[in-house]
Amino acid sequence: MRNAMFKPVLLLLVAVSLVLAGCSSGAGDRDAGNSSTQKSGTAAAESGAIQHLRIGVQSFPSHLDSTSVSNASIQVIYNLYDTLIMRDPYSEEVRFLPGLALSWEQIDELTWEFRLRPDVIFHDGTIMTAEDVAYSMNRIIQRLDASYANLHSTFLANFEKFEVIDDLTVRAHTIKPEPLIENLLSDPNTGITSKAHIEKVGLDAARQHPITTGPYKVKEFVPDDRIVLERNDDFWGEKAPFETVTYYLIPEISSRVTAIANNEVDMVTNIPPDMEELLAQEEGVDLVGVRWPLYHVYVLNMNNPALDDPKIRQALDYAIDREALVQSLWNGKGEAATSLQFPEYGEPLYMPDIQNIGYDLEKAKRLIAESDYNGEEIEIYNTTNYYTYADLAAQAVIEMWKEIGVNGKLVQVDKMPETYDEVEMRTWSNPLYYNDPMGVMDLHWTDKMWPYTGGMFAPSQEFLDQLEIARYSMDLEKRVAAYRKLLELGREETPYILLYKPYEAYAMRNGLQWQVGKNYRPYTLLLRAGEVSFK
Amino acid sequence: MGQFLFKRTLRSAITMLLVLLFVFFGARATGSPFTAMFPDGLTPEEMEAYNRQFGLDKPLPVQFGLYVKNALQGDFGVSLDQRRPVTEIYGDRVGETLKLSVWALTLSISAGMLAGIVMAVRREAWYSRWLMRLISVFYSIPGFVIAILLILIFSFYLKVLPSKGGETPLHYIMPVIALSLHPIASIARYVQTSLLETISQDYIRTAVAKGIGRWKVIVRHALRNALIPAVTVIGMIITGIVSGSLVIETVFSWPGIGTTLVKAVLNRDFPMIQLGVVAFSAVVIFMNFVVDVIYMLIDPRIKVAV
Repeated sequence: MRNAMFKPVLLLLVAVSLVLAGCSSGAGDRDAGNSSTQKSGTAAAESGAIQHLRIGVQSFPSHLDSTSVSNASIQVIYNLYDTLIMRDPYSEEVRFLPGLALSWEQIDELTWEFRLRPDVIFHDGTIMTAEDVAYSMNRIIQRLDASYANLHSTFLANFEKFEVIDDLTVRAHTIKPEPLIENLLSDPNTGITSKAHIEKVGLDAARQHPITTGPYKVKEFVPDDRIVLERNDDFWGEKAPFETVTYYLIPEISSRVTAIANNEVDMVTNIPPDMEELLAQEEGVDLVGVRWPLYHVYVLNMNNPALDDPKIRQALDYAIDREALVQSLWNGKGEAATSLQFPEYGEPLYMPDIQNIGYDLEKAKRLIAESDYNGEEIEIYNTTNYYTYADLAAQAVIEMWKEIGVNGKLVQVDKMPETYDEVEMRTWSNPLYYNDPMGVMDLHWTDKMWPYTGGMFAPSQEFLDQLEIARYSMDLEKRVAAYRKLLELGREETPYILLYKPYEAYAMRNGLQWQVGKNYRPYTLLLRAGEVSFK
Repeated sequence: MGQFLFKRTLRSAITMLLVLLFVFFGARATGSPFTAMFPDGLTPEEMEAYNRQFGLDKPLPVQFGLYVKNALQGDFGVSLDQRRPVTEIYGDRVGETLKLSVWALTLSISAGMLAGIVMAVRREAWYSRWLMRLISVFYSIPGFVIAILLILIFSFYLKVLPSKGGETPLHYIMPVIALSLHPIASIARYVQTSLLETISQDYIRTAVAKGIGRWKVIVRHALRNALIPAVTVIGMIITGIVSGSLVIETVFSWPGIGTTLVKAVLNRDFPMIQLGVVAFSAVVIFMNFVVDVIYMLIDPRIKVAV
């Protein structure tokens, strides 16, 4: 009996393994296709094309609806969705171009009329009409789904509704006059999607496999694994440069570095400076560095007893030697913050004469002495592995605070706490969503955003009043003056501490011609015609 | 036998219910899934809308009751992150994890037993000593450290093996090795010790004295008896491989349930965590059951208490 058990069990195990091995070599055909394309790609290099682009990214969107707003999503959304208005990605000053709308004009204070491009074909062969445009916007305005709330408050808070006039005409009705409509409606997150499709299959299914008008369509979406886009041959504009683009999720830095060095992918994202040196030594790998218009910041809890004296907040700010951080953490490739501004605005909105953030140790010491600081421990909350080097920067900052007699502590957490009552400061980032002061102010420092509703940001009434003017005035001079005032109030009230613009790199195969686009927001991965090619 | 099966099934069901209770309430005690999924913050309004949409605003016992009722009908809810049925998400990927685990198990058992036998029977040989040293090293280094080392050597420097994904047979080599080294060490040590003990028994000396060849004695008589403790180890190994695959899959971007479950935990995706943990405990409970049954079958001296 015992003997009889042994052999059959062993044989069963071997049989099972062989069967499963048979299954797995079936899947091998997938990669066999890819590698043969690789070979033909190298052979075709002379004729100037790889057909199938493979990208290793750090993070993935959890769905592909246009309303997916995040650094992970924008990498895909830009290539999948068209907007009414588009931007020239590279021009010195941002230029707005016809997208799905051929022209637009303001017909009264609160109404804009858009004439749509005719004969635009969705991925399922149907024709785009004003119904689709109105639906794409109104669903967000009406917040038909909980996941729309974020996008609503980010870009569409000032829209009342979109009205269908005829098949190719849409009117946008705003709540207050809107000076920034071109900026807002050219963001990929306000992309147009097929109304019929969502109504037929439901949002949950449409999110996994959307029907859009873009130069690429979704071939396959395997969450947390890969996203495969394929060229849309019916695209209304110039056809996409690649037959397929496959995004692979590779969350680990060392895995991304290995994948590009080993030619398993053609491009990888989010390479920090210390890995850059390693890749620079790899033949066949090029690096494209970028210093995004984005600041790493600390959000200060103005309501916390330890920090409610503005002098303490100012002192903490003046005590930080940002240049030192940039040199030591970012090899000098980052940029120390000098004000909450970006040159991308262009003048007159960008005011180079305002540089009210900087290192002033004496002033910091004086301010602390004048304040009611009593040795309380100031904790910096940081989500681990979210902002590159945020932990190292915080440790350095805490050392710098010792010079003015302030006790700091870094608290690393997996997730931020549910309420911020006990929190003095936390890490955050402020990217520039569009090239206007409101592209950073309206998305971060208003009474609609979480720092305010979470009880940390407590601006003066004057701050909120100036914000209103800076956001909604139709007079450019008034907006400039209000923004100037906001920067001054920001200095006085110090609700935030700006650190620096971080630096990171994209690594790609030798021969891939690709550049970062300065007129779309950080992390947008430009893969449309004219934006990327293989030499 | 029937009574044994019935009582065993009942005990297993109760265990799984307790696990579910623990996971259900424990996960909710850590906070909201939506602050996890949106690290840049949510307004109270947005939070409320999400909670309402997913039924998380109901009282806890009501949520639990609904969950159990649906689960008994096969509906384990929808992922809060992906908004697809949880069973579908795991179902798509469990095959890949199983393939990896089965290969790792096969390699572990065969290599482990072979190593154990060699180390027992040829204890004094130089290769045995080196094998013992190697086994100790495998035993002490965590699997993921080995995984990263393998990737560094074979993908980054030598560029001969792929570092991510699971498409071709080449992709299996490093993950399977990384997952197997620790089990190989465990099995080898158990088999070695157990075999040594068995070999020193009188009846083995008798068999050799009777003229049966040494190897024949070992394989036909000693090995079978020595394997009894090994069965326990194999049960533990299986649990170890399934849990080890969580980390190994993440390192190799293997398209299995490991990465899915890890992400679910980080996101506080309650329905995903619940099914993942309950399914995992089901595997462990089942493995224990199988081991006990095998015991009863191969050794008539053992009568498993119910």
